[in-house]
Amino acid sequence: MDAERRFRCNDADVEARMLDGELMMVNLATGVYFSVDGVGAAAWQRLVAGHRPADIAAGFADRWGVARERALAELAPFVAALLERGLLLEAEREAEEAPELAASAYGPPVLHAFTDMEELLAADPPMPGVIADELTGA
Amino acid sequence: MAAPLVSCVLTTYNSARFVAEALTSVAAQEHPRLEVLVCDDGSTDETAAIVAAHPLAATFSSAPNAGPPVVRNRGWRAARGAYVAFLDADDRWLPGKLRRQVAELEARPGLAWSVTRLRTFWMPELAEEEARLRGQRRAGEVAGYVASTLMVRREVGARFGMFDEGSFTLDIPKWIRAAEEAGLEGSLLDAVLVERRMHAANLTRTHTRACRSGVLDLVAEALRRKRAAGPGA
Repeated sequence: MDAERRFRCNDADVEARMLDGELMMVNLATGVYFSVDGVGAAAWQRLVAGHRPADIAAGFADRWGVARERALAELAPFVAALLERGLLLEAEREAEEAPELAASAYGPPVLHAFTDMEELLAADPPMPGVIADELTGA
Repeated sequence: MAAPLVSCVLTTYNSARFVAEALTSVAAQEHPRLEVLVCDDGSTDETAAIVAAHPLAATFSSAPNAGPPVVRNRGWRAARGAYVAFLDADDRWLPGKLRRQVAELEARPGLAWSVTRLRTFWMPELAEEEARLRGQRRAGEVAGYVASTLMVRREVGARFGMFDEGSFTLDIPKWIRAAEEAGLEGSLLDAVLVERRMHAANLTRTHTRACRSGVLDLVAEALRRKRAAGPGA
């Protein structure tokens, strides 16, 4: 992983919501849904705000006293999984402000993926990339 | 006609452009014991006149606009058939749809509901979208947990409950999930028996935010159940 890259959420296909410190996401194109908690949720919030993995790892090191190299090494597979699952896209952009780090303790970020609603969600949600009411201001 | 075995609840809302096709697809089922209830959600266009002019003798009723689950429930309550099959006015049933689902529900008395697979087609005004989505999983033939594929036993409405009238979108997946949770068994019939139309006024298009948020409500509920079930669920 290039620790200097920046990213954004794949908004066209992905819906995400924070609830009680847990991040839940669904990829409408695949019907797969995800949960991320603790450090992973914090990492996601920073990644989609355009923060570079190197900077995120540095922030984790400052916040939890974990070695920066370890934080970056453990962030890399998480970012790779987000990219592979179509949740995150590379982007040329500036970083925006991200929420404070809320998790109480450090642990490697983990993306939990679930496929048991693929069929249930195959037909009814909006087609990927279709966000028409935003165009009309509805 | 003998007492109906199947009630078709065809829901309409400003459906003048498509409702005749939907009715024709119902007529093509050639089911001998079918009643057709067109339940209108406060249309302001020519829907009523088109229904009245169609050769299929349908019963038309209209009420002020209240949203899809309210209208579907109105039809469900009015239905007289042992089986209630829903159809949105912009979709089409394929031949044999009713016969195959009735056969399945008759053969398996424990089943409360049945859905089928569906395929999607696009109106010409959305050719660009069709080209963009072609080849994607959801643009092909998929499991149809939507109203137009769904057939339920009528009595399940009284015994378990009908659609959540507070769910403007995704009322069918939510109902099915709740039914499964309550132990009501259902079935996905492995055949494409419905065609779903994509057009400029699809509800999932005009209310995209609500639909996408509704998906996350389902996800949140699924995750809650997994947590309640414990590790490994």
